[in-house]
Amino acid sequence: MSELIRLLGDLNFWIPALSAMILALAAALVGSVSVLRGQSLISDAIGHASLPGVMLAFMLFLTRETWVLMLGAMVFGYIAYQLIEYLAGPKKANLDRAQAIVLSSFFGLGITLKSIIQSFPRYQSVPKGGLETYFFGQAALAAKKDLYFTALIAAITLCFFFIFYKEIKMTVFDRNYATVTGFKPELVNHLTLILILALIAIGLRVVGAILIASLLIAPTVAAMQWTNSYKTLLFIAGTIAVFSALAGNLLGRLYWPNGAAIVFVLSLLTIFSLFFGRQSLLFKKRQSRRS
Amino acid sequence: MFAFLILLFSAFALCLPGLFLVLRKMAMLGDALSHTVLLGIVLGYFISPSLNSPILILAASLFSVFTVVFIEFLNQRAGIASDASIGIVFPFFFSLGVILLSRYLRNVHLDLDCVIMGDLTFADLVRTNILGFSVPSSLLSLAIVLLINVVFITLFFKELKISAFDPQAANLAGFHNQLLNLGLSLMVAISSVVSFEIVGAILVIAFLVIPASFALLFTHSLRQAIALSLIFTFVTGGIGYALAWNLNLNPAGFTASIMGLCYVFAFVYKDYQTSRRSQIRQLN
Repeated sequence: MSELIRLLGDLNFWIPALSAMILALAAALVGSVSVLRGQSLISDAIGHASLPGVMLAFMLFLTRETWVLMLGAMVFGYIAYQLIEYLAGPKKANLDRAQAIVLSSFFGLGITLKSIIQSFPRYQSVPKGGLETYFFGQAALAAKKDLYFTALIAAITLCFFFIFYKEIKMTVFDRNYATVTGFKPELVNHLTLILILALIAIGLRVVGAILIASLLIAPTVAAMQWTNSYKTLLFIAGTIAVFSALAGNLLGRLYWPNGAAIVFVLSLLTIFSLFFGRQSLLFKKRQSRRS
Repeated sequence: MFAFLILLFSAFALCLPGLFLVLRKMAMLGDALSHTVLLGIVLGYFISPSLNSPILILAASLFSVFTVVFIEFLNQRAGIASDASIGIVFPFFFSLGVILLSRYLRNVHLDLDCVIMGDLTFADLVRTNILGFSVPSSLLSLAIVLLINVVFITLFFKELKISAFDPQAANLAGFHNQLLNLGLSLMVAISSVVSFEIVGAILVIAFLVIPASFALLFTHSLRQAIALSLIFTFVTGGIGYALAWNLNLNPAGFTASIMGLCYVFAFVYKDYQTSRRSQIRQLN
């Protein structure tokens, strides 16, 4: 217990923890848009597919400045998104296979590029420690500067979300009405896509390419089990996400892998909500059986 | 030489059930399974600490089937959209697998790199003797799994076909669609468990989904699709492996990206063809 109190006064704990919390909050809010529109797994595909972008950016610019690698990740995420849309065909009949194909082949490309980085002498001289963290994430080991950067991007994303809150809400729930009132849903689509790309790109460092999708999907699904109003949903999703990020970082102090711990706590809360949330189908079924 | 055979066997074992997954529009379930296998293997390892033991393979496969049942449960009973329930279950199990692996199994030959990329050379090294020949034990288990898959598909060919193309007719015809689903999941699960440590999670998804999708671009007959997907796997797997070996690249990752590239080319070609055909029709 005294250990815990000492930890809470430790700046080295709070800097990574805070940036993970801000990231989780932003991801939960922006993720709600894609989940409510029934496109949850797109973020999983983009998360996997942005890995080669990180590797290629490193190979081209021979640096591991976070913003360079992040731009690489965003570019590849965008290419992957467009490719999925194209391969899914008209009416998105083959969306699932398009996602799986793009996900696996892009991630495969990322692994290939990583093996090039490891074996070619050209890259030996450049410090490349930390490229591995993009697979599973390791916020605790990241440099302070990177963490400030993560927090900054997440905060900008948050601002964008609040500025366009009304427009986003309208397109999520009533597309036709949104079109009638005179602004283009396509614009909101692109805006949320860019926000998601940015969050995934910085989230790679914290939870890694494989589990990043969870930060976008799980909080919304959990919150949906407790409320019917969008505003409350955002509030609950944000709280769950922030709590999970904090708990994950605490568990990281017990030598659990940080990123995986965050996702694990988040998933536990989600499963709990599915069974006991006041608005969840399972809870309602139990209620009706009892009465 | 054996390494290539191992790659080929695991590719064949995966692309057979993969065809039915793709037909049923459950390709992303393959993605989920290829990740949750990790937790299955880690749990199985606590029961039986040898990566090639049948007990571990069986335990991990059963766990994967549990994953499928859990996803179905969330989808049908808890009313969560099917892609969201996949997106919840697999990070849950995968993160738990990563945590257990890095906390308790540090010294085992099953590190995180191997989880996503596989380790063909290591698979080639562990040998067993059969009839005086020294054969990689992974090749042996893959051969058994491949045989199981072939037998399952030939036995239930008609049922699988009907339920893939017309689930309602399948229900009316009176056989257990759910049971068939479970059988199919078990097939995918066993194949992924055995292939997992050899080719890694990523190539497992690629083998499950890409050959089948490629074949379905060009044919509508199930038999032809099976043949075509096997040929596609053989050719792209061969090219990918040979190139990766010569250029000193990661074979699993490189093969996956070659397969994806081939699919995209084929898709663009098909797309171009259909749009030209419709243009000609308009001109007439």
